[in-house]
Amino acid sequence: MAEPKAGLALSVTDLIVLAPGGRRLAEVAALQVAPGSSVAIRGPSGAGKTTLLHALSGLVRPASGGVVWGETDLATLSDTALTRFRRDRIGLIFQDFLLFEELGALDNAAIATAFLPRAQRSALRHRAGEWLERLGLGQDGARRADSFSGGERQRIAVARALANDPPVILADEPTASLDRANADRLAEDLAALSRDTGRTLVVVTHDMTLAARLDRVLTMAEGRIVEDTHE
Amino acid sequence: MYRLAFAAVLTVTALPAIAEDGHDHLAEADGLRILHAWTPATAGPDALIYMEIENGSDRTLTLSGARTEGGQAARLVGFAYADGVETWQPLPDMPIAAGQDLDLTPRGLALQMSGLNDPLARGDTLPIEVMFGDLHLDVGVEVEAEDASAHSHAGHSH
Amino acid sequence: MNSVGALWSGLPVLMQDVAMLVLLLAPGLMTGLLVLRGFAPWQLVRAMLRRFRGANAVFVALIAVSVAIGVGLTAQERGLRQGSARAAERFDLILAAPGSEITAMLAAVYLQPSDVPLLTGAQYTEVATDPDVVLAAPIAFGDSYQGAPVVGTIADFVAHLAGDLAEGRMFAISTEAVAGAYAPVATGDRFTPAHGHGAAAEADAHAGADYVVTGRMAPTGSPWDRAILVPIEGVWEVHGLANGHALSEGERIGPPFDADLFPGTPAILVRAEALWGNYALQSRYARPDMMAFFPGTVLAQMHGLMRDVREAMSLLAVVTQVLVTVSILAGLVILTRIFARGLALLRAIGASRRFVFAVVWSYSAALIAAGSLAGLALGWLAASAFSAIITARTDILVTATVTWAEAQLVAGFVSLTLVLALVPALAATRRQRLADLRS
Repeated sequence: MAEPKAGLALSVTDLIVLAPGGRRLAEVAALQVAPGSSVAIRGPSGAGKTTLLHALSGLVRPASGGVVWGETDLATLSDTALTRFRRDRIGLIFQDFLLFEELGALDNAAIATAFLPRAQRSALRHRAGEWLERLGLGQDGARRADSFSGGERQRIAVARALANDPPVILADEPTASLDRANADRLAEDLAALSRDTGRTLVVVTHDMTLAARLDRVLTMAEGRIVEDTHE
Repeated sequence: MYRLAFAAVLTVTALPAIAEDGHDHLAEADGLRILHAWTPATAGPDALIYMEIENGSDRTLTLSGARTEGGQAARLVGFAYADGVETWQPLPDMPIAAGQDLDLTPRGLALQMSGLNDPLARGDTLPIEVMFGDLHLDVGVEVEAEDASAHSHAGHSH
Repeated sequence: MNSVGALWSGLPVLMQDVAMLVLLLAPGLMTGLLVLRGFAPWQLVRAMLRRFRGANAVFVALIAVSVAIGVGLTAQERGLRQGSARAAERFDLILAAPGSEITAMLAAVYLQPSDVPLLTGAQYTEVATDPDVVLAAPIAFGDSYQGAPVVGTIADFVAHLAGDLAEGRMFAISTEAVAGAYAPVATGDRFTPAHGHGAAAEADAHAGADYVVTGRMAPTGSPWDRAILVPIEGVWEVHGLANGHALSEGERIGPPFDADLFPGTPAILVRAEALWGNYALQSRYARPDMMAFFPGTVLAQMHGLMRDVREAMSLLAVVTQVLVTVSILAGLVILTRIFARGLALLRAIGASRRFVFAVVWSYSAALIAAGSLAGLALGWLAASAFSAIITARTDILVTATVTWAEAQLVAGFVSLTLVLALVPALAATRRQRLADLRS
C-alpha cells in the first residue's frame, strides 16, 4: 500500500454558480476545510449540494468566486490543466457507480491506465488491485462488473477513485443506491479512509449514518450553507 | 555478308530521292511509300506511331525503327494481350518483301517513341526519319486526338 | 516530379503494388497514430463493442457486403477478361472471309455458332504454301453432338491447341475423332453429329455418318474443352462434299489438300515461326477477299470498349461503400449518445477531451477494419462462386482472385472512412458532460 497522501485544505470564497439560464444554483460566501478532515453535505433536493460538489471538483466553473485546493486556485487553471488536476488530485464517487459493466472489476478500478502517461500505468493498476483487496474484492478482479451486487460495485468505484492515490475524495450520494447493510459498510470504509489515510473527504449525502461518522456536517438550503456543525 | 551487300546495293541504286507530292500524308522514295503516319496526342514521354508502308521497290526492305530530328529513337513493337493486359513487346527488324505492304495499326504494330521532351498536341506534325537499313525516309507524323483509332485521312489511297 | 516518376517506374511491380497499398493506407494510419498517441483505449473500445453487440454486427455486415460488392465486381471483371484472353492465347492469327471480325472470332475461338461465308481451296492453298507460315489449320464449325461443337480441322491444330493427348491417339482417318477434355463422349464411343447447334440442330441430317472417338485432349481452359475435334475431311464427307483429296490418295487425311477438291472452310488459324512473322502475315492477308485479324487485338478492343462501363461500375461500387459507411457513422453518433455516460465519467475522472475522441474514433475504426477485412474475404468468395458459374456456362476458365488491385481499393476505402470517422468522434466530444453524469 502506498504511503497515505496528505489531504489538501479547501478554501471557498464568494462562490456563485449559475445555471445556463442565469438562475443561482449555489452561493457560498466562505468555507474552509482542514486538510485530512471529512465533511458531509446534506439538505433537501435542489439545495445545491451536487452543484457545490461539481464546483469543488472543477466540473463546473463558477460565475464568480474561487475554489482553492491547497495552493491551487481552480479559477486560474486552463481546461486542460483542470482536467489533469482532477485526474491527479481528486477521486470521484457517484451515486450509481458509473462502472463499465462489460469490463472486469480490476479493469474498471484501473480504467485511468487508458489515458495516463505510460510510465504511471503499472503503478496505478497495482494500487487499484490493492484497494480492491482492501475493500474485500481481491479475489474477483477479473469478474465482469455487472456480476457484482450493488454494494460490491460501489466498492469497485471507490477503488477506482483511489487508484491514482488522490489527496481528495469527493462523493455524491455514495450510499443512496445501496441497502442498509451495504450502506453501513461503505460509510465505515469512507470514514476510515479519511481517518486512517489523511485524505480530505467531502460527501454529499442524505444518509444520517454516514454523515454521523464524518468530522463535520454542512446543511444546505436554496443554494446556501445554512448550518455547519463545526462552528 | 548479306547486310554489307544490301548496304552496297542501296548506296548505288537508292540514294534517297525523297518525293514530296504535295500531299502531307504521303512520303515516297524509290518505290517505298509511307502513308498516313499518325500518333495520338499525348502529354507523356511515350508515343506510338502508326502508318501504312508499301514496298513498291523490287527488293526486300527491312524496317529497323525511326528517329526524330532531335535524335530520339523509336523502336518497332508488337501488341500482345496477355492475361487480359495490353502490352507492347519489342520486335526485331522486320523484312518487307518486294510488293508487300505492312500496316502499323493500333493494337497491332507500332513504332514506339520514348523520351519525348514536349507534349504532342492535336494538329502538330512530328517529323521523323523511318529507317529501312540504310534507306531513310522522312515522314511527317500527324498528331490526332488522344483517343483516335485511325488517321483522320485513312481510307484514302492517294 | 520527373525524377519521382522515373524512380517509381524503376521499381519492380511488386514494390509498386506494396508502395501503392501503403500510400493508400497512410492517411488512415496517420490519422490513427495522431488520434491514439499516448493512449490505450482498447479496453474501452472492447466495452463499447460488447455493449452494442447486435448493432455492431449489423454495421460490420453492412460494411462487409458493400466492400464485397466492390471487391467481387472488380475481381470478377478481371477474371473474365483474363479468362477470355487466355482462351484466345493459342489463336495467333485468324483468317476468314470478309465480314465481322467479332463474329468470326466468337465462332472460331469461342465456338459460338454462326453462319459465316467460306474461304476457298485456292485461298487456303495460298496461305498454306506461304513460306512464312508454319501452321495453317482450317477450322470448320457448324455441327454438334449433344450440345458439344463438332469441329473439323487437322491433327497439327490439335497438338497446337492442347499439346500431347491426355489419353488415346490422334485421329488417323476421316471417321475418327478426338474429344475435348470435358466433351460428352468417351474414348471408344461412336456418335453421329447433328447439323447445326442447340434447338435448331437437325439430329437426323447426318444419319448414317458416324465418328469413333480415339483420344482425349488435355484441358485448355477454353470452350474447346467441350468440343469434339474431327478431321476436316470427315466434316466435308458428312455433308456429302469432296474431301480435299483425289480418290487415288485413299484414306490419307490432312494437308496438303487439292485446292480444286477443297470445299471450303469458315476460318483458318495461321501461325508464323517468328513473332514478327504473324504481324507480316496479318498485313499480307488483310485484303479485299479475305480478312486477317489477331483475336487478342479484337478482344482487347472489345474489353477497351467496356473499360468505361467498368470504371463507372467501380466508381459506383466505391460510392456505395462510402454511402453505406457514412450512414453507419451516423448510426455510431446515436450509439455514442447511449454510451455518453461512460464518456462523461471518463471526462470527470480526468480523461482529456482528446482521449474521449480517441475512444470513439477507435470504436468506429474497429468496425470499419473488421467490416473491410470481412468484405475482402466475402468479395473473394462471391467472385469465386460467380467464376465457377461462368466457367460452367461458357467453358472459359474464369478464375477470379483477389489481387493487389482489390487490396488497394479496400485500403483506399479504409483510409477514407477512417478519416470520416473523425466526425462521430468530434460529435461525442462536443456533448455537455455534466448532464450525462446524472442518471
